[in-house]
Amino acid sequence: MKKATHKLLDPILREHRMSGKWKADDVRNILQELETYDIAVARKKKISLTVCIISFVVAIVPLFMGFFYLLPLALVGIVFIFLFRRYRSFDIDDQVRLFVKPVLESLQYDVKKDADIALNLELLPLDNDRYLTSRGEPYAAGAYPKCCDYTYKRDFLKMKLSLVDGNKLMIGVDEVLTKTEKTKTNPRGKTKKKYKYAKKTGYSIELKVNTERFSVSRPPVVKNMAEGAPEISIARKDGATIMNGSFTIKCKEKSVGKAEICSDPVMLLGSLTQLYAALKPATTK
Amino acid sequence: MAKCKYKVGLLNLQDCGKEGVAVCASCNRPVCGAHSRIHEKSTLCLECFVNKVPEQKDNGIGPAENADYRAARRRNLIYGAAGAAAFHPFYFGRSRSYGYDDYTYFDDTYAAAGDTAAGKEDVEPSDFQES
Repeated sequence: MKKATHKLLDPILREHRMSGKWKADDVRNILQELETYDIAVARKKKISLTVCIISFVVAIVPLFMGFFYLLPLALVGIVFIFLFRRYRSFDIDDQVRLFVKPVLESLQYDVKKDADIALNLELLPLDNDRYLTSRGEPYAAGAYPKCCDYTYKRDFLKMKLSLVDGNKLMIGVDEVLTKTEKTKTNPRGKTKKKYKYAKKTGYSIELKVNTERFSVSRPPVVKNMAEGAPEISIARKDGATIMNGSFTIKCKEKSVGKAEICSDPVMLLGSLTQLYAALKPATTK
Repeated sequence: MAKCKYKVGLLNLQDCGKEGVAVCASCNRPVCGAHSRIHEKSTLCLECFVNKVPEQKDNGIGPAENADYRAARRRNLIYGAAGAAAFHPFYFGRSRSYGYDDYTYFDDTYAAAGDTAAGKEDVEPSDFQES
């Protein structure tokens, strides 16, 4: 890791939030380092979990049956349980490498080189307690006598970029996750828990148009818009032309698989190109 | 070798402008090392490569060297999507990208044809005068 990038990375990892203004190259380096860090942490987490499971089967259970010579191995297992918990706290949201990095990678030649990028990015996974906004009352549903809904809410990303053509772009992503925890007890007395996730992601794109270079033509009204197609509106504010595009994606998952409910960078970039499709060179009337 | 003519960017296209190292076997444009790939013993520019070769397992993770390749894949998906069919990116040719190398081919053609006036204008102002 470069020393300069390392200096930038330390406060970001401490706060679990990337907030501030950086040059485009610095943002790219930080995201690259975050990706490397996240992959390394995920690998260590997997190894420590495997050691925990093996030591539990090989040492901790036989220890209770009187095999006391397995005590050192059981202690190793306990140490790895703490290590696993520690690595889990370092976990970075997969969307940082699967959504934010690809978006910036695709826009790297469209962003003005010497201009700053204002970025506000949350690094913790969405189902972290920091984003818990409400916990519903327990209720019964079907075979599950105890169900509970947890709602997590956050502004995941806010990014302001100056583009090479003089336009100014603002991208915002906000997320709402509803986690349903269903609990039941089977005939043998074991408690079983099941989780369901429903996520709603709102995207907003704002483009402040450089009117010296572009004129804006209102895009045709489309009925029965496909998912991911933005609703485009044009407004004039303080003498500037501002185009807004927004759309919402809903998805449901049964497993914890956070990677599966990642935002799609291609969908966001596709919407951005649809905003650009309404621009014409300023000389064309 | 001429400068790389691969177009970089998503919303505004520009010439890469780096020193070209090969010529794309499909579209015949000069490309630099970063924007070329070898496919079946021939060199292709990234755009032709992503069109011809089916997507390999790439979920966006990887070294920065492959950033252009991944961006080309996404650009191909976005430009090809039905919803974005109306989108034609703006091309801002950069004057710095056009140098001596860009005119070499024309001069060579003139020389091969035995035209001794290569580099001079063929059309005189008098040609436009009314008789």
